Amino acid sequence: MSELVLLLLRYLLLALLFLFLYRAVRVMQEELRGASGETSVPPATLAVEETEGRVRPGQVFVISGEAVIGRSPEVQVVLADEFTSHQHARLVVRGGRYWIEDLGSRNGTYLNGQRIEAPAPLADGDLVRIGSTTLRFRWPTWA
Amino acid sequence: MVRTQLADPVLYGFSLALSLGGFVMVHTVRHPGDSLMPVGYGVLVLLSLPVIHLALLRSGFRGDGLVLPVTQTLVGLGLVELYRLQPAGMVRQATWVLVGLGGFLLAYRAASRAERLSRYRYLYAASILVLLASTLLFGVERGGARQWLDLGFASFQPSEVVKVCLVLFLASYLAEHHRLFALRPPQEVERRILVPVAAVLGASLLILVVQRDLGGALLYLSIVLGMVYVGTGRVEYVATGALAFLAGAGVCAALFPHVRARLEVWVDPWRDLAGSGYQLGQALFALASGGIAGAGLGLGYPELIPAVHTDLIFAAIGEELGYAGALGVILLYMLLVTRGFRIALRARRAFSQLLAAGISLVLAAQTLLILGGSVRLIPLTGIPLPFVGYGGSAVVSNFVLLGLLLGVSHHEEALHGRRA
Repeated sequence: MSELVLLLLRYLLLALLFLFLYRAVRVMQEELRGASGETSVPPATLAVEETEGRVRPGQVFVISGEAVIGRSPEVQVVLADEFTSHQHARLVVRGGRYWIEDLGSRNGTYLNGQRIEAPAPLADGDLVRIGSTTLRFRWPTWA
Repeated sequence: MVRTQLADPVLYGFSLALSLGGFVMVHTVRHPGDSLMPVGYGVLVLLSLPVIHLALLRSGFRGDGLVLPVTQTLVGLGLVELYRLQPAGMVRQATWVLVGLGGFLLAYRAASRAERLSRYRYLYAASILVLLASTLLFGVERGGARQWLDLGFASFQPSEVVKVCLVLFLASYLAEHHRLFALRPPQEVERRILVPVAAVLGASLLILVVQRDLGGALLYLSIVLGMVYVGTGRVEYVATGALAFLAGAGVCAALFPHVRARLEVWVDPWRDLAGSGYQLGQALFALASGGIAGAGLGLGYPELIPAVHTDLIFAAIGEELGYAGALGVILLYMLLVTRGFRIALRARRAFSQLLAAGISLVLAAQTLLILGGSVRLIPLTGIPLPFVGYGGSAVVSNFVLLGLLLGVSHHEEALHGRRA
């Protein structure tokens, strides 16, 4: 085979490798676009496990979609707990599941005993501590 | 319209065209006039991946759609480069890929019932102990490391089975103690975590000294530290474990000359270029001579590197496909590992999450260890480049890991009525 054909084939092979990678990135891009509309997920609950504030242990908050947690009466999950900030944390839905995100609260938000620094995904049974209040996240959608 | 969950024909098209073009080029340059049977066999084996993908979709597969096309591209590049280096080896490797696909399907079925899989925790632990002990006692040495078991009719690397069992065991063990991290005092958590970490750490050092298998030791260590980090979110454990291993390895290097020899080659391969530094030196020459676009498939001299088809196939790719090709291969691995961690993130149950994250870690650690070794970033170890390098046990066990990964992916998406 002539030199020229081999030279072309050499560059064609590299081009194919990067075309494959480009296509894979496009597929992932498309997937992200699809996922951003994916805000309808089954409802979850947050149940008060223990608290030092004026919150009734055992109280259950039903969450569907986004919800802000805090001391302010304006928010969806009101915790009358003096260690809680007015707008303390919020639950958001991304990629078909719930995430917890701290809203710059004074005392921080803890997931299973660890202070979260970035939005963290929630799994059924996780413990979320906000101020002095510990809440159990329940999301038994596969039952 | 691009749909992830489908077997994207464009992706498979590019991948197959790349392999086919590679085979054509290698054939005309290296083996003109030889029979085309090996090429036909290789292409058929590659075609079985989209066929399996379609069959899974027909049976209701809802998991990740990118893992298999990326794997096909890696396997294709590996077969092409093997055809160039050792045509007979390529045919054997293609057969191992078929065996691996069988393992893939079995693992996929098993992982579609993840709860059941997590029950055999102590079976995995026992298999690990038996395999490690039998290698220590009856191991056969090949290429400086005593890591083979000769069964008479075939020989295999127990470390490849160990890595699968280790991921399954740790996923199951850490998932069981998942709740503990939130509820119990840190001392008790630490005790439970410390036991497996210390056990693997000790075993890794033993493997390093007795079997001279630095790659295996580093691989097990990365798996256990990575999975403990995923399971607990605490960097301290990882840092302590890594430092303890470094200290232990330092002591071993001071005590045992064969460990020291490995490190000396890494620090300065040029000092004894004709002897101990020959392999690494040739690999570095090959990578350097590749330039940006490479010499072209079949047009370089990678056969000068000892063990190029197993441990140093990345140097051959770098020489013949150049910096661009090497970069492309690294991007393929990044894609594969990213998809693995994405599957872990989307999974809701602790065992599935840990299993998917652990499998991604194994694939990433193997790739980083051998790529880092090939370019002299870390000491060279005898780990085949996943899905690309020659090695029957390795390709089968990596396909089993993929089967588990896609099984978890399908199971988790199907449970929630979503598509990946």
